[in-house]
Amino acid sequence: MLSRKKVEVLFSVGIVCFLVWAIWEARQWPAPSKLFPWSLGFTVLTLALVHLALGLRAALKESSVGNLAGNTSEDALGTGSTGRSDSESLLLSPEIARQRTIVICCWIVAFFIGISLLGFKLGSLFLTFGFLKFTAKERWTISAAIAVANYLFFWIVFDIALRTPLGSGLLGDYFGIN
Amino acid sequence: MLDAFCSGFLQVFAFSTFSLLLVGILIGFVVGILPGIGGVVTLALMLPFAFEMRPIDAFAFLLGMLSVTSTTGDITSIIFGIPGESISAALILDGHPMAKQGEAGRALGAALMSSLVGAIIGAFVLAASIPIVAPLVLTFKSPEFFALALLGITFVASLSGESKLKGMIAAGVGLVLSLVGLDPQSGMPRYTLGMATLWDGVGLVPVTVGLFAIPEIVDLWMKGTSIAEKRIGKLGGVWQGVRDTFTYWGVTVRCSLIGTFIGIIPGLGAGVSQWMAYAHAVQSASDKSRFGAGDVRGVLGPGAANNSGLGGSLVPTIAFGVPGTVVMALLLGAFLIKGLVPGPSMLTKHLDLTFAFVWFIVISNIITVMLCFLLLEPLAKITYVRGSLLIPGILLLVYLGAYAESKSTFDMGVTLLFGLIGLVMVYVEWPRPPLILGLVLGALIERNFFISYEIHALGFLLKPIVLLILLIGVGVLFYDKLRNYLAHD
Amino acid sequence: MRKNGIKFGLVERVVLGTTLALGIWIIGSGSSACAAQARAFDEKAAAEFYRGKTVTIVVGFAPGGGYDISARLIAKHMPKHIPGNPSVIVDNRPGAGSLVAANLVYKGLRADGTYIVTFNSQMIMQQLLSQQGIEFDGRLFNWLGSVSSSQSACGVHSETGITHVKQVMGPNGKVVNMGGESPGSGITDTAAVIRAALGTKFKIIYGYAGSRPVANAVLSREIDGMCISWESFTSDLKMFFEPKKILNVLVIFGSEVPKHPWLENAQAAEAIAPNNDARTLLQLVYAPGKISFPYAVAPAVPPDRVATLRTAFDKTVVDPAFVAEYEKYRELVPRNGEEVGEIVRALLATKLNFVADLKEALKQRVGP
Repeated sequence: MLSRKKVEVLFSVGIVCFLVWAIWEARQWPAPSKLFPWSLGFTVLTLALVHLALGLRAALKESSVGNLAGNTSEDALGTGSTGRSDSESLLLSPEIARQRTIVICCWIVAFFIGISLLGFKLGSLFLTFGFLKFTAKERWTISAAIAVANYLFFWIVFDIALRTPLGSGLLGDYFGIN
Repeated sequence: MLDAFCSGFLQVFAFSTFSLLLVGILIGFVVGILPGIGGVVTLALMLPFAFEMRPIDAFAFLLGMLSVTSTTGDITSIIFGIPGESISAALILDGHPMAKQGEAGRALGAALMSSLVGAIIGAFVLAASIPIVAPLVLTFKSPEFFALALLGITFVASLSGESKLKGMIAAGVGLVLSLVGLDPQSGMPRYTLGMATLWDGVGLVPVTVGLFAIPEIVDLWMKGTSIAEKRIGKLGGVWQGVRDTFTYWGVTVRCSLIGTFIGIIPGLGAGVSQWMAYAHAVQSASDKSRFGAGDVRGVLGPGAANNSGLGGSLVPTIAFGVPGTVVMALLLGAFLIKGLVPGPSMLTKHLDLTFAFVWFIVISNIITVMLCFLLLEPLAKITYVRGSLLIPGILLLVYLGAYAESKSTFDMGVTLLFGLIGLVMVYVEWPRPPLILGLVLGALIERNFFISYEIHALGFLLKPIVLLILLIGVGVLFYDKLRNYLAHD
Repeated sequence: MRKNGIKFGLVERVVLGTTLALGIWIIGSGSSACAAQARAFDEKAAAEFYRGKTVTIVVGFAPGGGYDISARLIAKHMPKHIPGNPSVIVDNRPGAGSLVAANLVYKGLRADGTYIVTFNSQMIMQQLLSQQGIEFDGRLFNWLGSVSSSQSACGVHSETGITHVKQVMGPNGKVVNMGGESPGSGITDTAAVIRAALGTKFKIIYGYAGSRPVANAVLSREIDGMCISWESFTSDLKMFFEPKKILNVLVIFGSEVPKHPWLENAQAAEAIAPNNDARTLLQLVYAPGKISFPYAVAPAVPPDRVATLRTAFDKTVVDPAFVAEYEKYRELVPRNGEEVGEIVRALLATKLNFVADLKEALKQRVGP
């Protein structure tokens, strides 16, 4: 798909857009309210534009030279803690990596929707079972066991021990499930 | 004073007091591990029960609980990459990579031991400084806070790794994000997209949890293994981590002092000290290459700092009823309900009680550490479990952490959004800590700037302490160049 | 006609008809009399509804603060006074100074009588000022009552040498820096209104992050004084008075100064107001304080449930066990739902010109 450098350019564009929006929003505010948004906004925008320019140059050079390999200089701190270099060395093909990433992202969103609608107890029950059985392809028994364990966790810790129920989600509140 | 010191010690071991201390520790243990259900929430929940007890028992219970939550919060940071407490986020940077390399035991051992050292140092600073702390605390007003917050921003350089430009932009974005909410000067909503939920700003906990934890989950699934990708054996074990605390004694002690100092100054909050400690650990290391990929010093620094903060923040609370953090404000409420008036009486009539507090902190940390050591080996083993089995639980904890503070589904959405942003940032190799630092410090910088300006006009920049702090900031920025220059000499 | 052997002659029909008519009239007037007495409710039906259920008190602030603790104490003692003895729990939904909670319970949750909300009574003032983001109408909330009363007072550090409010008024008055948060917060608005009504030379320093930072700033002498509820001065902020008195309270809301050694030279704001308009302004701003820590249920809740909860609330606030526990924490000043509703309606009926004056006073950012 897109090389790392191209994604970085898009990301930089995103940041520039965000900063332009922030500056624009503040245009009619009274001076004291506008001081920090504009002084920060313009400063960071300048930096971001510089970075964007550098990124564009690198991306264009990359396409013209036909360079397929991504950025090889590993900046340990910059990558944060995912240790990307290690996982790449496990010889995952890019297509599988991409596919798995998309799948897990869908589940991350699904968990958000599920918990919002059903609350933590019921949400965890169905979502956990769904993930383990259908995506992780675990056995029926272990999927159910962990799903029930998650349900019990939320029930025992929040409803019983701390006596602060976590809410039943949008649907739960509406239909009165608990 | 010596007899107060000793009688304080003995009071800890009265049966009712000690048993309540243990109960507090137990509760704090579980609660600290749950992200989002932090010390503040439990403290507040338990406060009504504490009403019923005798003063010393109530404080044994509450302090026992508080001492523990920051330690156990480190555990989820290391094992899952989810901050168990918002003050445990910096530990993820190196603690979690260590877990991924099979060194979870070592990271946990280092975190625990440095937490213990930090707590002890913080407690003894508390004991030693109460007589002299009054002038110190009251000297720090809005201009000094402004300067300290600016100083905090200079640490961004150390948190940016190779690319200082990316770090600065990330910090800048964090600073702009901190402006979301009601303008403190005029009450006007800024960047709130018409939603009252955003009047209080973008939540720090949802952003932190999303930015750091979600990319970890994606990574875990993507590689299809367990959290730990290799097995190390003895060298990755808990005792190695304990030894590391003493091998790198300098980092541990200095970061404890940073945490204590920041705790003493009301208004900065422990959220700042963990990043400053981490940045200091990076800066003071001659070989920085492994930071971010599993350098144990990256665990020692924040581990020590976030535990020493408790002792530090008790100082102004006890000495004059000036609580620096929300937790301290709650504790102060407990003091008042029990009829204790903070101030000189705590140093004269109730000196033994004050020393008892010191001992509560020290002893509960020791007990916690002992408890944790018993549990560490099994805990470390979690990192060898198949990732797919853990993912639902981890994801639920992530959303729990986002939701719990304000019972807000919106915050969960914030976590999701920043999770996706974090994912992109990891892919394009942008550093994330500067964004958090900007978010934390932005509000402090703006508020304190305007207050200082209203009172002193721009003259506030010339106050002696302000100048000193700004000078330190300049020093921090050019520290590396300075060191190279001196080395060449 | 003949029906089953009973003969219905003319007399019988008249008697039957009259009796029926009389009966209907008696029942009809009886039930309308019941309806007129708004508090009557069917206890059995209420018990049936509430048995086994959970009533949630939604608190607009984080755990540990005054609203939270009050709610928890009420939650502890209220169940036995509600028919059916449901369990009562507290759910904290902080945000936007409790506006989130108020909006939520007003229209966002089930209106069946299982959700009670407690939020900052100052929000009613904000509704009067047409603050954006307010999605409720205080007049339509079903108020259960309130448990506290908050009387704001302004004081300055003794190092300023100011002991009487006269010293900060008039052409020779000394200017004092008073700490504030953002406009709209209690401590800020109190200072602004006192300044507008009495002409005190308060320069308000905006931007502090809460009442605690303001108190710290007074202690460290960054600013000269602050305005906050008298209840706070006697509890959280006791350090201004014990062991040594370092704060002089200059003025307090209301028409009378409470008897208290710490209020030695204090003046009642309404007593020294220069004219009627100023007095009305002061009374207006004081009003929400009278119903501090209020409790309400949504407008759509059926009247009999409202009645049930109001009765339960009234019984709870006089329950000796509750009173004993609450008074350990702060002074209990209970008001019932009707009283609270009256005060709210009166406040929201304020004439437009006063509203404009108030807005002006509170927005006035430039110093004296």
